[in-house]
Amino acid sequence: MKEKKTRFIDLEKELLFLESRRCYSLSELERDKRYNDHELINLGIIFAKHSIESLDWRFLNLSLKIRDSKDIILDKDALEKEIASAIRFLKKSF
Amino acid sequence: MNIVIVTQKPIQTIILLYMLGSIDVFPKGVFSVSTTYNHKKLGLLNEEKESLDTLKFQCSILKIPLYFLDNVCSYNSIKLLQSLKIDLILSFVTDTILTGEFIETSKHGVVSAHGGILPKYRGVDCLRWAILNGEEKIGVSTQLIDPGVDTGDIIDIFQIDLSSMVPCSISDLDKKLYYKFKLESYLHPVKQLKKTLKINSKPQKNNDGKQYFSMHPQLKGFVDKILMNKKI
Repeated sequence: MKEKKTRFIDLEKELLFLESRRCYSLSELERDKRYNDHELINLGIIFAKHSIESLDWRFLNLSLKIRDSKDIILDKDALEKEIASAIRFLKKSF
Repeated sequence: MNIVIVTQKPIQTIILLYMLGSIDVFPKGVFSVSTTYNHKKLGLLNEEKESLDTLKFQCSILKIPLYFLDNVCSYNSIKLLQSLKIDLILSFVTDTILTGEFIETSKHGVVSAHGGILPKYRGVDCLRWAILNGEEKIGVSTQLIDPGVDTGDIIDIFQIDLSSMVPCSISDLDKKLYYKFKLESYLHPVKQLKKTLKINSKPQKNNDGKQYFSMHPQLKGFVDKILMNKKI
C-alpha cells in the first residue's frame, strides 16, 4: 500500500520566517523557492483556521497581509473565505 | 559614571538629557544614528531635520559631544564606542537589532524601553496587540538589550489598568504611556547604577512570550473601536 505523504508544518516557525523577511511583500522570484504564490495562499488559509483554534491573532494578521499583497497574484477566494470566518469569530469574542 | 545615549529620536533625547541632569548625571556623548533604508522608505522614523538641529544646539549648550553614525554596529562605530570606556548605554534605536559586539562596548550593557509588557509582548505594535488580546493591563518595560528581539534581561515593568484609560484613541493612549513611563523608565537603571554600581535585572525565558509583528490595518481598526468602547 502506498504510504500517504503528510507534511508537518511548524506554524510558529513559518510565521516568524515569513514576517521577519516580509515574504508577502516580495515578488515570487525574490522569495525563497519554498514560498511560491500557491504555497503562500495555502499557508494563509491554514493560518486563518489556526487563529480560530489557537486564538492567536498573529496568524490572522499574516493571512490578511497575504490577502492584500500585490505581489501574490493567484486567485485568493478560498483565502478570503477563511479570513472572513476568522474575523467573524474574532468579532464575536468581543 | 560614563553614560552615552545612542539615538534615532532627537527630541526625546533632549528631554532625557535634562532628566538625567536633574539627578546629576551628565552623559559623555550622544550618538545620533541614521534610520535604516526600510524605515526611511516606510516613513516610520522620519525624524525632521529641525529636531536634529535642535539636538545639535542643545548638545552644544550642554557641552556634550554629538557624534553621527550611519550604522550603529559598524566596525568604526564599535571602535569609537570602545575608545570611550562606557559604563552604560541608553538606547533610542528602534530599527536595528544590536549586535553582541555593540552591546559589549558598555560595561553594564544597553538599556532600552519597550512599549509592551515583557516577556509576554515582544516586537512591534505591542500596545495594540495587548488590547486585541483582551489584556486588562498595558505597559512599558525596560530591558538590558541582547541580540534577540526584546529578549533581554528585564529591569523594570511599568503597568497600568487599561480600564482606567478608556475610552480614548490609540495615539492618546500611546502618548499617555510615553509621558508617564517611557522616558522615566530610563532613569531607574541609571539611579540604581549610580547608587549600587550594578543594575538588577531578571532574565527572560525564550518560551515566556511571543514575538509580534506590525498589525494589519483591519485589525488596527478593531483595536481603535475596542478603545472607544464600540462594537467591532
